[in-house]
Amino acid sequence: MTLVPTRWGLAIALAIGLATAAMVGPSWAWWLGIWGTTHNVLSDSVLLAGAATSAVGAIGSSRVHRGGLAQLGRGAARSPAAVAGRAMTEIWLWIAAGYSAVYAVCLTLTGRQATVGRPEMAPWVAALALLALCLSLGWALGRRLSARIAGPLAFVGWYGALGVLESFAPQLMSAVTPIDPRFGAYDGVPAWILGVKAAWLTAATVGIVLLVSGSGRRGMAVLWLTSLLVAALVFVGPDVLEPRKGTRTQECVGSADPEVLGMVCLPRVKGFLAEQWLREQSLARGKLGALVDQDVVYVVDEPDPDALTEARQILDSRGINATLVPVSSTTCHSGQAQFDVTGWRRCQVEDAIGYRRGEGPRDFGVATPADVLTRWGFERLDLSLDGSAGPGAPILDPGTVDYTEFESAYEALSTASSVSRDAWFTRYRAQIRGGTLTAEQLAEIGS
Amino acid sequence: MSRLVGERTVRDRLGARDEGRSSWLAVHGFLRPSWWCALVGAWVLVGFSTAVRLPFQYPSEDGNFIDTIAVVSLLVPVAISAGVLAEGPRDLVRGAARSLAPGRFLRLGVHLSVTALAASGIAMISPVPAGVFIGDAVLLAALFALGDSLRGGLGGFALTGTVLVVVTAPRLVPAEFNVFYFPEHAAALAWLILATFVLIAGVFLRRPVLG
Repeated sequence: MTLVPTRWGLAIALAIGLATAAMVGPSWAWWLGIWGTTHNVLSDSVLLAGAATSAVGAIGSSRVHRGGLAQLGRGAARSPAAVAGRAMTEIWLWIAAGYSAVYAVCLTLTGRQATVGRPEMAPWVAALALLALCLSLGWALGRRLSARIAGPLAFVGWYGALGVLESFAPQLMSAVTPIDPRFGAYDGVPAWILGVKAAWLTAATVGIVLLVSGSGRRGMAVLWLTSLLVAALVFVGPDVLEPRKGTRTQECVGSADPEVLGMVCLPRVKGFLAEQWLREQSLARGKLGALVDQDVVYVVDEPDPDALTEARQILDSRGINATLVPVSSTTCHSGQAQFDVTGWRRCQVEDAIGYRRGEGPRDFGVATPADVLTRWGFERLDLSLDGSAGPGAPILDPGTVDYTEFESAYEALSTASSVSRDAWFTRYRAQIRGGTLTAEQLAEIGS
Repeated sequence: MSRLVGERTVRDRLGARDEGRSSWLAVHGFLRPSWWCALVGAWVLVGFSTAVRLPFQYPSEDGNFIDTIAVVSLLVPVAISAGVLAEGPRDLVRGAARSLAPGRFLRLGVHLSVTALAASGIAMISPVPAGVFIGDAVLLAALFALGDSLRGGLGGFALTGTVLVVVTAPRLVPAEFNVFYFPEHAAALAWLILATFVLIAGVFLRRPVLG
């Protein structure tokens, strides 16, 4: 006999699946293609999926306790704990189905792109154990309340509790729950730690089931034992992170000949983006000419000194003597897993012209020579001028900024041959980079 | 004693405490002390929740938007006050000798105005952006009534819960469209509330909330 009719089961699975997808979907660019971040964002999604799960538990419990099934259960040949456990297991299976369906879709999508690493079982198991705990807490809440009140209360209760934990005790949350913002592309939580987390979550679930179904003493005993596991995790959990093998190793892709394509060095975990980097690099060199550096090799994704040394060794071993330019992930590609075309194009223009971000408000009323150059670069690379090209993007719209003084210079910049433009860029490179370009120097273009 | 397990009679619903009161008040017994206590308690919790900031939704954006926990926690008092919408057991409602529309109006009015008043009270003493907070509360209350009326039982929670998950999931709805969280969309929020009111007028006054 099933307690949950199939159509209700499907509705539960759909609700949990939607809550999970609502969390992971919008941030696809941050995880797609990297195993570590994919697992991380799926664990984070328990924030909303867990709220929905505890609401489902509360509603189910309320219906069982008010609809007469609980009374029927008292007459059963099995123990009340077994009856309650069986009822909750059935609901949990539907919840696990909804969550796992989204999990499987995310892993499949990442698996199509990822270049290093493999999917892991432990984060999935731990997340399912956390959902089981949510269900049992909701179940305990719904025993005495009507479903109409218990559902919302459980939803808000879980959201608020986890939110407070995440905001005010993030270390505790990382230590004892599978939601751990620190694990990502390069570092992971060891499987045994996640196993211990799954163990305490399961044990706590069993304890709560025993407690609410009349086996109070056994329930308390299990909860006391669980607290030992939690205490151990509080001491051990926060410090244990292990690097993911091979993810940090640098690889340099492309050709050293700047005329052909250019070259880029990046960690192996981002290897699947190499082609895009090279394509964008060659595009920018073609469109911006000598405004951007031609004889450099970019080392991308916020390289630390070790990464730079490693990249240098790789280039030396191939006999390439180019300048290494580290590319910051925070300003140039937002630290995303996926390639941020807008961010990188903007970064190339702004770095070449010496625009410094975050230096306070600028007066956009009248254009400066740097504005003229930046506008030209943005237009060449198809970036929008209205400030919508990423966070903190400059507003260079001719409707907002007054370009009257530089109209002829802009015209000359746009129409000049690439040879004369490159000659001008090379002549005033220092002034352009230093932000000291004058109107007279700008007027020399094409002359 | 011949009742089936789980079957509830009107007398069960009323409880011993209401036995001596008028049958109308008893059946539509939303004036019970427990209801008021739960409602006041829930609004106090909402008041506390406005003091907590949980930077979930748009972590990279700083600025003027209402925090998620303040909006999500509105679900509880709204669910409690929606209790007044229930008109009683099916047979009693279907067999009513007189029109129930005036009572339905009254109930809906109590539900919406209690929500609006309580939200205004909280907005006066806490730092939340007042307009969007009161608007959210009224909109959630109206959606709850609509869902209850359309689907009965848990329809209100299903509808408001789904809406909240969609608008609260980080970055799912871009900031420029998220009327629930950003005060600059006050006009759009007002239109949304108005549209929901029109829907309620069409649906709720025809379909009773049983229970």
